[in-house]
Amino acid sequence: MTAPHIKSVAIIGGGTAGWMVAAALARTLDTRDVSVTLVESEQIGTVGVGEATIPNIIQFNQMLGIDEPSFMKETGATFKLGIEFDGWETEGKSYFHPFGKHGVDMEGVSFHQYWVRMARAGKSTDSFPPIEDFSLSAVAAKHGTFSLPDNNPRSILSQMGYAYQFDASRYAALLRKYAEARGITRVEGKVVEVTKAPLTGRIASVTLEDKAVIAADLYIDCTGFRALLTEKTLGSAYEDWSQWLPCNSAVAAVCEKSANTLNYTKATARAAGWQWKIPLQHRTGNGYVYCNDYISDDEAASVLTANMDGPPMADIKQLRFTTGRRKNLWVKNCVALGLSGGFLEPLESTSIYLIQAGITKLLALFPDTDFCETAIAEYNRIMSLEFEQVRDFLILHYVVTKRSGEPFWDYMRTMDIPDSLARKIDLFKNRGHFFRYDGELFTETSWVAVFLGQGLIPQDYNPVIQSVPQPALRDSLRSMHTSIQKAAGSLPKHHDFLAKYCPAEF
Amino acid sequence: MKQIIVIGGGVAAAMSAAWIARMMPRASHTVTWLKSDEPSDFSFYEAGSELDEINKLFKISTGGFIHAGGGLPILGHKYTGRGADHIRPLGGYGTLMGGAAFHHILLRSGRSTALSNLTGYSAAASLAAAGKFAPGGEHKDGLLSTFNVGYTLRPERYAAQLEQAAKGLGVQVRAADSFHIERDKTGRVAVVNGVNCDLLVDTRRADKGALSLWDGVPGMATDGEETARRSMPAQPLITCARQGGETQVTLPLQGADITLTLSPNAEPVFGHASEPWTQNTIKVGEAAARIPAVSGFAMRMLTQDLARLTSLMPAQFTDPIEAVEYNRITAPTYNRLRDYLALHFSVGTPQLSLQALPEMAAAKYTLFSARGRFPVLDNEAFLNFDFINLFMGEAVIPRDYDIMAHAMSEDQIAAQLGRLETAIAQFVGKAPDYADLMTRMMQRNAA
Repeated sequence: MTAPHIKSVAIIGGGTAGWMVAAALARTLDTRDVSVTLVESEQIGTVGVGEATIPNIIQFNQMLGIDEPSFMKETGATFKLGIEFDGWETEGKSYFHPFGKHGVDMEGVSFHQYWVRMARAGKSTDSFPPIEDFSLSAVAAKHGTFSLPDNNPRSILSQMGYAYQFDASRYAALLRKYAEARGITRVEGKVVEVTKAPLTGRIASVTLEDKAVIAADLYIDCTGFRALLTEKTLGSAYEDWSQWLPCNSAVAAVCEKSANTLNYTKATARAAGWQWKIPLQHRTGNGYVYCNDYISDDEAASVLTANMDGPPMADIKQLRFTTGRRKNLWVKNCVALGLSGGFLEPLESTSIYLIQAGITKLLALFPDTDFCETAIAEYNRIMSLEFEQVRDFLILHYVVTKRSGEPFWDYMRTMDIPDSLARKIDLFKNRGHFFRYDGELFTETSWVAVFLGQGLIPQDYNPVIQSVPQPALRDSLRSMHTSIQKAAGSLPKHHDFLAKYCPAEF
Repeated sequence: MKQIIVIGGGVAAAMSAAWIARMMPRASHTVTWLKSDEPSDFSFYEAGSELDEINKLFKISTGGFIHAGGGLPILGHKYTGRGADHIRPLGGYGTLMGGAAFHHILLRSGRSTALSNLTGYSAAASLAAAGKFAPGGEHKDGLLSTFNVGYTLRPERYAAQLEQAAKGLGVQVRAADSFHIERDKTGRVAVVNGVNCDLLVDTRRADKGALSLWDGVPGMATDGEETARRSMPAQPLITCARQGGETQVTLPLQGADITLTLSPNAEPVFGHASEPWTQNTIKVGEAAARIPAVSGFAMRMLTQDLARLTSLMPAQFTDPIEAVEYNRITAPTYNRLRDYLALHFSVGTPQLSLQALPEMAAAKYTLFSARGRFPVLDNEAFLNFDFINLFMGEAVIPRDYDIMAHAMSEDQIAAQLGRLETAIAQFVGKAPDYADLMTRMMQRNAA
């Protein structure tokens, strides 16, 4: 006997998470059979997370059938080839975490092993070109050039990987237009009460300020840090990860765009955290993420404004958060998405990805009205892993640092870290070994970029590659280096590409 | 100079020796294979398409491998004796439609999901049913989807091919009737049969006491029985005939069939070692796990273990940190194989009990039977089609389908299914007859 299908979904909260899930449901559900209602209040502002993204967002837009140039025009988007990390190893040193691969793997062995061998063969590892010089995306970022990847795997352009930097509130607006055109109903209102069904303990309805009652089979909690449904009503606990990711505040401001729009995000280490710079077509987003045990809010705001390309165009926004995740993101008939599910600081632009992952898995395990416990347990298992794997990658940036003499960095450098991360660091330190767990978001390229970029050079390399004679290897890497430099230099300038492909329409 | 010693015989030992010699630099590593006569390794009578890559590594051509290995290329398995006869190809049925998996589309449109009714939607199954053959891989017409070619083989002959490759790669091969293993005071292996040892690769068949045995997986009732056959088999298929709880696996070789019987009444012998790498000894092949002759899993696990070993080859062999990582990854891989086999031998039988299944196997069954889904776990050696073919082959019909299947209208579904059937029928129509093709190939190779 099959349980009745879900006939109604209520998304509580708009913003990026709310409208992303609304759009995805509009695309996949037959909205003649299933009613989807999104409740949001203009009185409650949105955080507008994730102006910078990672490449997975491309698949999300493709799934919705959103055309890339139109999306970029409407959101003032720029292309993002990776992130430049400045001052993370020591003050004044920077490295690039690119999208797309480093070099070419040979004989089934990862490229970085060959790089380590050559770098170790010189007088010092600094005398060999950095590994990012073997990444087309990283070199194109340095040249300020861009081209879409080539589908032909034999073309060097096939190695180009990219994501977007965009205006999150405009993205939410675009998705709202998309979802409403496909039958999603938006209700303006503030939730004042959530009622549970006495027998099942499931959410039965939400009541709005104007006394309107909205009842649904399935609820999506997009109420941000308040987690009105998942935590306040259903009691799902939050797991605090502040011991590893202690930054708990951010100040954010926008300024005029710079003359040449960068095709990457910049993350600069500061005394009590780090500062982001996200260039869009019409403005530049800036923010300082910090731990308020080590710096006051006012000081943080001063540091931010002193390090922007221009004066703030609007008031400086202040945010408070606790890094961590909800232990169970899906409880009974309610799924937490976005900030209500957890928050990891935006260092690697994973906020939108974690929403996307939650949506994809919700669609894959979409329930019936019996809310199969096995499916709920599976959702919670996979999403917990997603959060933990991203958490480990973020901690890596802080723990593999040589910054010292600053209380914040001294704590970060010496703190106890999760065993899962300690194992990865030990393996890499020893012989550059790296194992990506199945389903893990960040690739070997990403981990290697941070390891090597922050000066963690393996003591040795995999002996498997010793059989390649060193002169032949040197020639091979030299030729790879040359062709990447040439290819990146010959591409169109990023701002010219934007002007032709997707100029902002506002 | 690091001394790596491989002990044992058969495919696992030969491949380990050849693989390590191929991967490790000769200037700093020597590989010695102390070769013993081991009992026949029946689980190695079949291999999947991963063998193509392995053979390429050893410069063994596909034609040369088939000719000398004594086996044949196959496209899947034919299951008989319980429910309707059906083919489980080395690939999936149908194709993704509107972002939804094929079985969801069938369920949504009210069509049968029994594999016996779906032959026309799989190029590999259609070829096999018609007694035809074509190479696998990506085909130009995306509608044909992807299928793989596997192989049957005579393990002793393939081991001989690998031994030649190993010798060509500098492996010292010495016959050994027995092994005298000397350990240092820390317990690590220092000398084997008088040869100094930095790393010992043990491929000898494990005693069942050394393994965590897999509940619900039948034992071997009979060893391989060979029946001569004059002509080529009519279909590129391995037959799995089920009767009661027994499964009789018949593998077509050149000039003969090999038949093995698995029975729940036979002594349980299949299982895996929980810590395959301790100190400087690593167990691979039948030392790491005893695996029944199902779908070439033994070969798949062997090649995966060897790839993992070389990618984690440590700098020093005294309690290397890599061993911890190797064991951490390997244990769940074998647990997932155990889960698959527990499902393989219980789904579709009256003996199926969710309580008796390992937890994640039960979760897979529950989720599939509810809505055609299954969790994909870390370190699984399986592809989605392995599970879909298993469940649909055993007539597990999900009670509902995925919402993604709503993306296409009934008319669109009917049109796409029609196009798929036509494309596959045309493809099969042009393909050569399997028996003829194999006969010609053998004659050419013999010449």
